[in-house]
Amino acid sequence: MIMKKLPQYAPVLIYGFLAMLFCLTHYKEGFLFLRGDTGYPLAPEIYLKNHMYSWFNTYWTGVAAGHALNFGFPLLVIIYLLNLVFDPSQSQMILLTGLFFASGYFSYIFFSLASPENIKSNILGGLFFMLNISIVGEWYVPNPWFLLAYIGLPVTGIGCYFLVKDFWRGVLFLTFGYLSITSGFANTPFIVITILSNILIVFYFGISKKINFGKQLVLITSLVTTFILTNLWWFSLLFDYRQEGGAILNTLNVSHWAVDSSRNANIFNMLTNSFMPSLAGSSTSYSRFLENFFIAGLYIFFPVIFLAYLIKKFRNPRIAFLLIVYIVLIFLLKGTQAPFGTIYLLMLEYVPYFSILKTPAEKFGVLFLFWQAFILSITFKRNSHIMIGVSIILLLAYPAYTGNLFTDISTKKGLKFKASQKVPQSYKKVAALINEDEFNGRVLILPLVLDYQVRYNSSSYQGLPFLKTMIKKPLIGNWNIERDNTFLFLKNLQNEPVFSAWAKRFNINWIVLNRDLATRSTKNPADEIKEIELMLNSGDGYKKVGEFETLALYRAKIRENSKDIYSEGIIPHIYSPSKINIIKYE
Amino acid sequence: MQFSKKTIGNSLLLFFLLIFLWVPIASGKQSVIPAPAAKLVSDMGLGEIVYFLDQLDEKKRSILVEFLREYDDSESPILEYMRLSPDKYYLNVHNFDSNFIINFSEKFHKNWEIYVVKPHGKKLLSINNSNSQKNIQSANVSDYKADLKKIRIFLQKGWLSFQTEGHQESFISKVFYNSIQNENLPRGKIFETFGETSLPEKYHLTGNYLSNSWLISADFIKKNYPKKIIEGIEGGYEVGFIIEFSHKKLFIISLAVSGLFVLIVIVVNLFKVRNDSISLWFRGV
Repeated sequence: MIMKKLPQYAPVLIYGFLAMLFCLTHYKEGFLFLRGDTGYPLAPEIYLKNHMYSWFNTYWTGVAAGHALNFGFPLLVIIYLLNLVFDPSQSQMILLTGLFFASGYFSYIFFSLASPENIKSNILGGLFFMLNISIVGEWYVPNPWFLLAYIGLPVTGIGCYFLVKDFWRGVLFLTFGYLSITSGFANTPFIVITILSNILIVFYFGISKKINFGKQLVLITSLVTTFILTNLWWFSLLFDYRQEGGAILNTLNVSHWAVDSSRNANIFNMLTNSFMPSLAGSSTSYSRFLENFFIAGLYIFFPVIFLAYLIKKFRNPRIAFLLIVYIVLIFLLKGTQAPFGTIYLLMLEYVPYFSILKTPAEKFGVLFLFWQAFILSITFKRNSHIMIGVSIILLLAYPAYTGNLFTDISTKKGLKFKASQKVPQSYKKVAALINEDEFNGRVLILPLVLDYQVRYNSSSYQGLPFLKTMIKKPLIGNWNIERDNTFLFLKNLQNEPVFSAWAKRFNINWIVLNRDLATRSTKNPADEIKEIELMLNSGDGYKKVGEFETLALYRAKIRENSKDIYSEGIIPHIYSPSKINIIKYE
Repeated sequence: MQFSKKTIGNSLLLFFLLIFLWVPIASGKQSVIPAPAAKLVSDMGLGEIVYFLDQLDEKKRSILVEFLREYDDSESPILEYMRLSPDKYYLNVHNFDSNFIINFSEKFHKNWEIYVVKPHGKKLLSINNSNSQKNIQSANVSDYKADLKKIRIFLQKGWLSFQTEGHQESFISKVFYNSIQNENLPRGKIFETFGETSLPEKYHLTGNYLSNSWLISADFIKKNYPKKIIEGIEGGYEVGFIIEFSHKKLFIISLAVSGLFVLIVIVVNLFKVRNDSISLWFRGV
């Protein structure tokens, strides 16, 4: 009986077992995986509330939040609900384990629907998408935001399959898939990539099931309409958001980004799936492990087998389509690499909005991996090939089930950064004090930093500032103040009257001075922090509320005449000015 | 040959679709704000506002000049406001009889709009003990809260309004630069500005480098919104405003459409509609 039923449940058991191994080897009670530029909401109830409004003013003094980095409303709801029941470290692990499992299992489901002939090759395809070296190499940043976008491909693939068979079930899968991508990191490019993936899948089914061309177009219209209707709540706001986003894109040297992203995408690396320029460099043991030519070269086994099959069966239109798309994806993925690398640069320059795909290896890479996994599920027929393929995948994905997926980083300069962190009590106390304040004011974090990712010495941390996701009040970021010239007054950190006058004019009620920043964060943190402290202590603008380990908290002083009912402090959020000054700026 | 044609045809179609798929997003230029005249401005009182002519176009400059002719800086009204959400604020203006300015410290954006309404909430002659107790207890913690004595003065002057039902115990600030933050104003309704016309954009200027500033002409308000104005306790007039980021309406409508769509999809799937006409058509049955 068991032997009869086992094959039916084998896929779920295999992916479930790997996910459980991942969970058990990575979970550490009370610790959160925190690192990188995407962060994790430390106070999801606050973060969620802040994301519920079209005017998102927790950063700078307002960004119209059509969508933005970390604008993952659906994911925030899930994290919030999980936190109602579990400890934050548990809920993070449940979330990551669930997503990890889903990345393999949903891929398997899609492949088994698309080509139900061989269960083993479908399992192989799922394992390839779940555990391939490119993704494991990028996972050093514990990033549920990215995984959501990653899972969007197989889930929407399932939707595309059902559109023909059972239209409304297809729309249901597409709806969940598109909501998943919405929460993903860098969601605009991934949406383009996912819809492109869906169109390719529709064409594939169109060819294999001999659906006429007109119907294929109706299917594509259906999936695009489903995407628009599911995501209209933020998509409709994009028009104005791009005032910000467009300006940011204009300041970036997109050609430089594209060249940097493509630096590894030569033909050998693309065949061995080592095309992703790991953000970790050589700073993790896994990235060093993959630098070995012969180890990463093992992955060439896959294209050798499937290309031989695809070329042999090229006369079959379905197979020809798979191969042509594979080649087109290679061309897009290689970005600025020769040959014809200039074409990508020209597209970046002249095709409107193409610059959102400024990192071709990362953006097209995800689709490339998914397409390869799909090809594997169709072309790997022999048991021996499948067993070798599974062995290579499992061998090279060892960090996933040995507790090293989010590993600590050691740089050549001797710096060490921990992946799992306990947010220090001092940050929690400071956040609690600020959050208790009912007066509408802003929070400024000092000193100014050179990067939006900061380094904290005391906890060997590198990533987004902890307080960013813990404070209810609008936060003025201390990074890139030149962005729109609004906060140039922050350059007057030696002149207390000037600084205080402007800070109060911008409703800054709280100042957090962080003494924990490492040298990368500021030019000379020790001197700079001392200067700021001297400046703040020298004047009448702000008073120190307290010291919380490495944090000093300041609040705007207020002045009042006991006989008078009027007080002086920061400028209120809304007020009627007593006097008007007009300045002509030369 | 047939399949090659089909494959090439599909590839060409894909190419054209790709071109049209790029999200049709509007690009916009970030307004470049001139570098601050920091020292000059720091000598000004905090209650004063600064307009930089470089940030105003010709039309707005002339409106500002016109406005100043009727402006009396000794007659600043008292403002009472509450933040309902990051994109919506309630505001009552007390004791106005001449032109005044409303300065709202969010980054200037044309989508911030201001609507004239009746004053929010109702006046109370006295305040219940729980409110006063809360303010007194909290006074030690926060310097920004008004104490009982001040609240009584505010009440006498008619500067405070309260929601008609429910809690009347929330935060009330001291008067900073003629402005009180009063968290006891009514909560309002989501749809209240639907179909309403906001004040013309020409009166919406950039003030203090950054913020949204509206020039409010007393005559304009009296002439166009006579029903929204009431007489104040200490003379002058009172009027209410709603400041809202206009995206909010679009957001609510879009959210309703998305929510409804997801609901329909779930309901249809719950009822297990199989072999529906669309699926049959796709399958060519």
